[in-house]
Amino acid sequence: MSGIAPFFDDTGISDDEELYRRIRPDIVHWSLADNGVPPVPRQGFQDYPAEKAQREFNLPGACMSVDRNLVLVERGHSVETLVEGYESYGVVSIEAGAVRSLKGPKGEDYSQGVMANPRPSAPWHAVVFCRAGGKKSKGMENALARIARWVILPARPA
Amino acid sequence: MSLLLERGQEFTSSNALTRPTVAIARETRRTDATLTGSELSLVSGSGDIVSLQRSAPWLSPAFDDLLRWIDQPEGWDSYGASRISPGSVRLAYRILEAISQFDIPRPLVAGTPDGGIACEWVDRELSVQVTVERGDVDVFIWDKRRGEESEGPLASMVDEFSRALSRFAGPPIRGAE
Repeated sequence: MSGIAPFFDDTGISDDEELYRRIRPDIVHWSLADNGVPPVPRQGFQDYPAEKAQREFNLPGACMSVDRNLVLVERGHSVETLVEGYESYGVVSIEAGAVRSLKGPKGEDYSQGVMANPRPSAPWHAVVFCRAGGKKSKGMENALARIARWVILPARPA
Repeated sequence: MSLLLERGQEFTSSNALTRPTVAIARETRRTDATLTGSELSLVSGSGDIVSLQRSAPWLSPAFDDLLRWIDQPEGWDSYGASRISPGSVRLAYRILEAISQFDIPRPLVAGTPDGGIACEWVDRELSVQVTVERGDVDVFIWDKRRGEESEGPLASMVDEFSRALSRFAGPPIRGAE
């Protein structure tokens, strides 16, 4: 991991910033949909493994990609840009502040950090990492799913 | 059936993970599954033929789900996820095969970015997930009514996992006391 800067919670990303995450349609529980709107699936918030993050993305550990609405808009794009080439995917939104103060159902501290990580093809790219270190637990993924809301619904499989 | 599950006599971490089922060779790219009467024959790419009996009808489509995931390319989640490992698929299949002998409904099968497989049973009150990654088998149980979550290795949660899963069960397929 030498030469890779550690994660830091980026104060340049304000608490009210909207972060997006694409969701594959085949991980969605359509049987639980209310008025055609399914619950946001926990499986949509899983981290890259640490080795992959280090080797391929020069990131210090396990984390999850998100896209910043603010930068998308500044660059003249919108959330629809995120599903170009991923037409059947949905997109969910989570607020950076809610991610930072993430809690479990019994008040467990699940707090996450948010760090800008612009990429040539996606200057709006950022990552969410577990402040306690390591990979997100399933409980943390579940808590993220609970605070997320659909912005674009995925296509319902036939 | 629920008694058997609760007592951990039929479904335990040891027998679930060691029952001989189907061999999926590392180089296998395609496996054909055919259903004949109550007997499911799986012919793997390595030529192995394995007969299974007393399985739920959803085992064959669940196997197809696993094959669809193993065929997913690198980056299948649009964020750089690893390809699904054949070892994870093999182990997940063994677990599903064991569970399918009870009247538990078909789970949602999904890949994990770490190359693993997650199988989830869910309704409006309960979510039970078993995840296979790099040879580890973990369980996550979310009791939505009580707002309680628990997670950990299957080996240390067999009883809790069995009890939770039995809440999805219907009438017994076989051997119920």
